[in-house]
Amino acid sequence: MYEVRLPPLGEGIEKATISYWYFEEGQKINKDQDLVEIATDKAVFNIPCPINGVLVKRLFQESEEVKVGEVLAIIEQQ
Amino acid sequence: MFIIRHSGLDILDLGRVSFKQAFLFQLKIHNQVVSADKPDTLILCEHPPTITLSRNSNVDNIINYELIKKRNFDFVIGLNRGGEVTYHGPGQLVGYLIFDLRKIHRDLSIFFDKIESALIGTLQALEINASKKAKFRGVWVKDKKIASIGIGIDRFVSMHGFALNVNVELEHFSLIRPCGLDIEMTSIEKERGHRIPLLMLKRIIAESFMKEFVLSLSKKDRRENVCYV
Repeated sequence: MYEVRLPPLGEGIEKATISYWYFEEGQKINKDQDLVEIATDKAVFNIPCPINGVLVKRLFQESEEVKVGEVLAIIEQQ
Repeated sequence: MFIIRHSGLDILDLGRVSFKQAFLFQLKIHNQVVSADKPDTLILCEHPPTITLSRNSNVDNIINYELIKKRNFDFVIGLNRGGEVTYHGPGQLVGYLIFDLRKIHRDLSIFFDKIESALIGTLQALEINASKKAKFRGVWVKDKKIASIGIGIDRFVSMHGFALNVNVELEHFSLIRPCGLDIEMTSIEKERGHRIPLLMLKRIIAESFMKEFVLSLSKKDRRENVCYV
């Protein structure tokens, strides 16, 4: 199992909002495919999937806030 | 079309183009920067009157949709950038930043600080005392906003950028709550009391971004490598 966390975004930016999940739980996902879109006050960015696998769990809903370092999703490596 | 060509930063001027044309151009350059076929690129342009909303914008921040429709403004929704609703129009200089953020360790704070500093440097050259504001991104002249920022990032390369009010019709901002805030907007024209040529401003802004984003080069290298067109 691989945990995808919200990476450090810069000084003073401690949290962000889940904007959009590109995959449903149970779906296959390839390395470097966009997994989730994240929004801060003035920026929007995608977090790519770091490995080939299956999206086992999304730990936050869209529009929920997430802190830097928190686990966003769990991927089962394949 | 080029204002500056440099091994580390290209600055292009598209003139007045529709938001859609500029967006498609951004996508093309973005793909080239992602695949390292092109250096970081700043695209400067102006748009006809256009209201844009990001994917996360609140439609309640549009105050007078009927008038926007009546005036036949372009309307763009669902953009992949941060920030709220904004207005673009003639006399506003828009800068799209296609920059590889891995060079600054993907640090959004550094990126925003550099953009704001480059804009403040530009305004200083015009004897306008502008500043950053804690908790509110953008560039401010006292409590009035003169430049707004909204960024999208894909594969570690940025898109979208800033909008600097030069000789823009400020009344058009009253149709929306700019950036979702109850604030007054200002412009270079309003602060200086007269209009300034956009071409002159483009040169100043190009110098300012060059200075802020190409710090690793010595002054000598910069002089040797920069090509003003």
